[in-house]
Amino acid sequence: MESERINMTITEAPQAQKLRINDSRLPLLVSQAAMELDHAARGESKSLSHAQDFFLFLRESLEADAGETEHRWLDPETVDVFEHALRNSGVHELRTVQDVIRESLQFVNGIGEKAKRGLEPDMEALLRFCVAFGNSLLAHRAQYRPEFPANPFRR
Amino acid sequence: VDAFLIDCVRSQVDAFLAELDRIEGSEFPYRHSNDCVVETKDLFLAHREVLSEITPESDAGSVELACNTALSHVRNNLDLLGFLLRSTNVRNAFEAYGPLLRMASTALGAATRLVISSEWMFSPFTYVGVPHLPNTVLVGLPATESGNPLLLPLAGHEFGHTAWAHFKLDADMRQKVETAIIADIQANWPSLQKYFPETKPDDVATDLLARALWMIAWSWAKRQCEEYFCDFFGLHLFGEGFLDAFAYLLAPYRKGKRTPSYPALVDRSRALADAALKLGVPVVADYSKLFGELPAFSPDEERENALLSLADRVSTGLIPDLNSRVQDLLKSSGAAPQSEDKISGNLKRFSFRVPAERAGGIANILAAAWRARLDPALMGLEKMDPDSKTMLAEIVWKSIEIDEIEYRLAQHS
Repeated sequence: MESERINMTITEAPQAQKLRINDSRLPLLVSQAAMELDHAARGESKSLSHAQDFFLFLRESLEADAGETEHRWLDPETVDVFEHALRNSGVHELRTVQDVIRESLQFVNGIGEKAKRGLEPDMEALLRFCVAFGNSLLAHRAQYRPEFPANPFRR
Repeated sequence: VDAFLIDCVRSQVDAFLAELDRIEGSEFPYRHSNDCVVETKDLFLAHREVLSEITPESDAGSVELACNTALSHVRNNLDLLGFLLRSTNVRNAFEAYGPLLRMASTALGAATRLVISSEWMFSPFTYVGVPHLPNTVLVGLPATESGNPLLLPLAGHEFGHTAWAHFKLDADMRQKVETAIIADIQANWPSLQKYFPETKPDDVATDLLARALWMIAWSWAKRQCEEYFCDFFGLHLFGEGFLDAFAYLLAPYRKGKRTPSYPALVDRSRALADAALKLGVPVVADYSKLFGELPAFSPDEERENALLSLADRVSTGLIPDLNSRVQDLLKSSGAAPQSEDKISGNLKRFSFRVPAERAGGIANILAAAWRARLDPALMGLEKMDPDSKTMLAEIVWKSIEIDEIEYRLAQHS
């Protein structure tokens, strides 16, 4: 039995789609998605519901703030996480925010296009990006996690 | 990935879940603590499920990601677990639970949940919104101060963190802060240029190298904005009681380091005093002089100091906007401002050494208590010695209980 297809054309917003880049539940979703994609890449039959939620999250993140104009705006955390995910996936020619948006949209739209044409996505490539995104997210959260105020008795 | 390492992570998640099970068996004084334990458990059960899917054939990258994600949640939620456990302790101010929940529900909506607990860290300002516990206010006061009702107004600051998430202010402020950061860098280009050696001023917004640097300031400024917002939230809800409780806890800080993601205490106190004046809340002259400046970095950390100054300029520039947002939110919620009549009436009862009746809510009780604390003559006392402080605290706790009884009776009549 073949795995579910990644459907990027769904318009109904599942719960996970509403997550923002700084939501502490997002790393769990990415981790769940990576597990599903790993199973799928090895030809095992598994639900891809988390993977689907993850890719819908990617699309929403890129479109919600970016808009349709040439002067898109993405919040700095989103740019940072996508940039490092792309670099970890082997995309190195990134100099500006526009480069990050273009490359990210190309990746995400590519999945959608394949789904629309009924083509099987490259599960291995999706898995690599998913893992890269998860690692980038964890690194970002570790760097920017809010610190507690200094204990006055500590020094 | 080494099987031993995977087993270590699984064991740590299992241990976390076992602890949650033990806490779940505690006697909870109110439902919301228990709800938080159950919802936190759901998060870790999901981790356990992901880890259980790992087999020797699993992709190494996915396995590492699953382990690191689970571990980061174990690390980041351990203090929350302790907080929830301590919420069952009888040292907590259960008398204040009903009035505070009512106040939070008025300001934040009927779905608001409240957990009161004690902290074994000195600072009460430790919890920002916890995404897996939506609409939940976590109020933690230093354990050593749990018998002191005069610190209860600081709960208003914590209500602010929940409001920040609930009313989606974070999403809105992100772009505002970025715009202000870029404008500030371009306006101060001669002095900041050296930190962006490979960037032209017009490219500061888009160049990834430049962004990697100013994003540090952006992150601090955004968090500082949230803290200002929360301070204003506390002030609007508790009036002068918030100012006094804030000063009691933070003004004695004279040594140590500032945390960059929090505004400087002098800036915070100045913003509070200005907002109080606009709101008609009495504030002592030179309120901000009660507070000291603490350095975040040593003077030779030039770049960090420049970034922090940048963050401070941006967040202080957004103060009027943040204050008016609090005003708009609370005006539409119907949260009542402090009442001079009620405070005077409560103070009179305190001077008779009896609890207040028809006190007009917890904010007016605590404002009166602070006036008595700061001016013992109002209580007919020469000074506020330890016995007098205990006596005042007892009267305040009783007043809060009576206020709650009156509310419940009114609901039934």
